[in-house]
Amino acid sequence: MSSAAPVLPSIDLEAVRAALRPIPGITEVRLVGADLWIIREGVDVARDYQISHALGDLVEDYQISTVARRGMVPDGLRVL
Amino acid sequence: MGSVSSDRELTVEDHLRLARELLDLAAWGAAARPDDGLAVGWAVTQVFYAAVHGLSAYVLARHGVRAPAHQDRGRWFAEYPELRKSEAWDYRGLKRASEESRYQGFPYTAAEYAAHRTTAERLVAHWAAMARKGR
Repeated sequence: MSSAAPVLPSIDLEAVRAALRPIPGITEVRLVGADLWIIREGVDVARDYQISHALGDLVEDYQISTVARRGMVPDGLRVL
Repeated sequence: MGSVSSDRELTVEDHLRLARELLDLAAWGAAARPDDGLAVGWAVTQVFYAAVHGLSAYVLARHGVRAPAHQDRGRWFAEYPELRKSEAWDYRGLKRASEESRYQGFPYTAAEYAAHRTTAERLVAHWAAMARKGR
């Protein structure tokens, strides 16, 4: 009998939480497969750049949405 | 506005010219329809692509490399340490804004466009200067 090892994301979720928690206006961070989704209250250009800088090298890329459009974000693991 | 020849690869000068022209095109569109969130959103996309061409100009000039896809450009920041982290994260923030406009039809305001344009202009100017030094 063989058991396939689960494919775990290489993202350090604790570090992601620590990086994003201080930023106001982020309502949810969700891991969908290997993609990290950031859902925030609305567009705030300064905050949006702050998010990219805070994530730094923790992820190569991420996805972003607003609360009003969170319906387009696939189900996944709530990280924050 | 000009165009580049389609019968050859883009040169460093082509990339730099496209970057300048996209910044001009964005300014024209945003000024023509400042209350039209879709038009202003596309101006955000245009300034992102100006940054794409600025980055492409530098990497072609310094390393002789062309990128077939966005993902490859994103990896240049890891491959070429002379590209600063802060540039990588500004570029990524600009890309995210562009994709929110393109894929979600997100309406941007003139003030939001202006902020993204400031970022794009800074990146393009820096990479253009590096491209000229890199050849």
